Amino acid sequence: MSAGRIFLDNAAGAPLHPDAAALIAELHREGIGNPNGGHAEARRARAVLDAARASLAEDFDVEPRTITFTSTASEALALALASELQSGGTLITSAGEHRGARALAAAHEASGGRVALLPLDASGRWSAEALQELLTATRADGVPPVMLLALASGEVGAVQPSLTAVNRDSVAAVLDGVQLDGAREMRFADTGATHLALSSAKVGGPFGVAGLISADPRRIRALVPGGGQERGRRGGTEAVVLAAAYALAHRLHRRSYAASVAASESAARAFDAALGAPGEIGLISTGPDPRTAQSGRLPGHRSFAADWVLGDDLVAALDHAGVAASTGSACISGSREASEALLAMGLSRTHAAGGLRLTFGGGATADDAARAAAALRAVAERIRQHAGVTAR
Amino acid sequence: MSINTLNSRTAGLPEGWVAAPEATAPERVLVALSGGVDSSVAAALLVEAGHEVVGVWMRLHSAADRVDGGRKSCCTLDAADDARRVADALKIPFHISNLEQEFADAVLEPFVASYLSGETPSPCVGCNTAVKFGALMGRGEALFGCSAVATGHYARRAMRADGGAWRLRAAVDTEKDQTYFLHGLDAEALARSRFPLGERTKEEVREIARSRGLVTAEKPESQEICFVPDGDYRSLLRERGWSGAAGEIIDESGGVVGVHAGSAGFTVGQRRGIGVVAATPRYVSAIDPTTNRITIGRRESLERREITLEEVRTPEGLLPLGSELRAAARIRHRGEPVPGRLIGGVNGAAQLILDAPVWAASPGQTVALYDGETLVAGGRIARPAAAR
Repeated sequence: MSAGRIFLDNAAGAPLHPDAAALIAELHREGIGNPNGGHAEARRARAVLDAARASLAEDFDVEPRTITFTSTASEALALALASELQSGGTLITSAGEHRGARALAAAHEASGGRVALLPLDASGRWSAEALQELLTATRADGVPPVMLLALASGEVGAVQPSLTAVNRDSVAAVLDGVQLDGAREMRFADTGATHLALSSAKVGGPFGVAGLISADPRRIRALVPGGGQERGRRGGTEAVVLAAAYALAHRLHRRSYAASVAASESAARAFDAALGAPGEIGLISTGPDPRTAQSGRLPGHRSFAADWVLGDDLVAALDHAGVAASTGSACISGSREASEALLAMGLSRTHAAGGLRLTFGGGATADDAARAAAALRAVAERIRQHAGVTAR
Repeated sequence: MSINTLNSRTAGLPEGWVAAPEATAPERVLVALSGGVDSSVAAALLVEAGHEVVGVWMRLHSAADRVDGGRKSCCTLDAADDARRVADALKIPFHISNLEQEFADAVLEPFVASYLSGETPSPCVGCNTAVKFGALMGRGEALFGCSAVATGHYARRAMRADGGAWRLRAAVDTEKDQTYFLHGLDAEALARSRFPLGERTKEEVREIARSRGLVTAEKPESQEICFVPDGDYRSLLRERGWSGAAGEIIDESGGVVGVHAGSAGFTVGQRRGIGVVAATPRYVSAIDPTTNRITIGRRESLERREITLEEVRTPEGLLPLGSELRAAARIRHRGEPVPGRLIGGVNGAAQLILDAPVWAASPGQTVALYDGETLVAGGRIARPAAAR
């Protein structure tokens, strides 16, 4: 990051932990290569991979064999879903899911499958009762449904209800734990997941590696066939160095998460205080109210919507003012699509196309927060003075 | 001085006017990067002149998403990639700005409506006036505090010596001059537009791109209308519900000589694709959308010395009623300007009386009027009263 810039897009990818960066360099220097071979060099690589898997397993309190390394969490979700969804089965999901999950649901629908959407309340949460109703309704189909849900919304920061309270018999739950993993000490068993997708880059690890924890990994049907790597669950040579860096970053994050979560939330509160009422600059807060919903909202996560500018344009203006922010929904800039999640939460189409997300990291200071608030105020005021040219 | 007193085709600038310098004091400029060589070099020149440059690629429509390859269009995702790489090489910020709604309102819808009403539209004019030097200029100011918008157009600006008025001035490279498409810029837009390539030739521009190692240096020229990637605007009309009902082709005496598949598929001056066999070539001379009839005639019957214009503007606004000016009229891009007299009518209408005939003045097309190198007014060729 350049000096003077304020990085508030940690939900999209936290900065690489220096120890993980050092490990990557060290392992590359050592010459870690293909772990699938009959020689000492391969065994050394295999040992690094095994250690990474074991370390992550310990973090989530699972057996190492339940972890499948993938390249991204989107791939992990796709792998789990392809393994669980039967033809004719209903996919239970919500409009508030990550783009990757929404695309999987769309693909299921396009291939003739049914998709049942859990309604979202105004803060972006779905309810256990509504899920229970959907489970009961879809069970009558004869073909078991599959749930595809995130434990927390990356877009509006809403932490979702626990599945443990839901009576679901043998219905498979494919859960996206990416955002919540950064915020909570998470045990696999506590999530109620059949499969849990995770990501390295959200906890200070490198991009390009992610993981899937499966209650019964024998259920996994490989999307990419190969030479038996990952016990036949995912073909192709494993990214050993990235997996090792991921495991290290996750362990370090676990060790310090309480402090880093506290620091990020404290910076976010400093931001709230410096910004004042969002309404004064034409913004509405989205997601659970950060003042009252401490445990219902991801720490360090703030989200807003404007009806006088496209989210992408607001992000561009903030970028120019030295603040790295996000719309929270679009993966590719230049789209003017309204956010499905914000629409499902009852926002107008213009508000839903004007999303803004600021996610503070553990290293954010109160000064960063104050400067970010000042930048947002200045940018909003300037844009609103030109409402005539930016209105849609 | 009034434009009424100007003589046409006098070389250089009118008395009391000076060339507007492109490189003034350092300022924050938004450059519309298309992903082509011209806008890349425009950005490079501004950076080298010490300006603070913000690169923006405009997402204007989704038509190009469906067409892959072809580095000819400015509106594909490949073009956005090239623009991003150029911005990275120049170390300037780069953003994608979505102007689909503005483009649809100012360019796409009028384009379709124009064809359906028997005209031949000039979509680039509307895009320049309303999108690039309209909405984009507004966004540049609102989002980034930019005081000006620069493009890779080949054009120059002239300024009245007291700074109180602005005109477009033809580019040094007369082959590349694009002032025809820029005629709709008003005084405010002209004051805040920057054309860094106005003094350069195309070959110089490519050489600058090569010497700076820009990835766009050898990209081919874009020729087609960017939102009609396959070059056939009729497919766009069909998407918009045009069914192309068969109609009559008549000759100038009114006799039916053939049938066509929808009058919106024709342009005045068109020769190919009429499907009528005659001893000498026949051209579309009139299009009547109300009767779905097209008229064809011999080449000479498309010559006109008097043309009715509408929406005629100078940078200060609509051409005043009763004003009269001598200027040379260009009825198509790269067309040879023909001297004549322009007489202002009601509400921006005007009568253009030319010293020599022009051929195939198509309703809907732009007419740009020059006094020497200076563009003094511009408007659209009106439909004949009978076809309105």
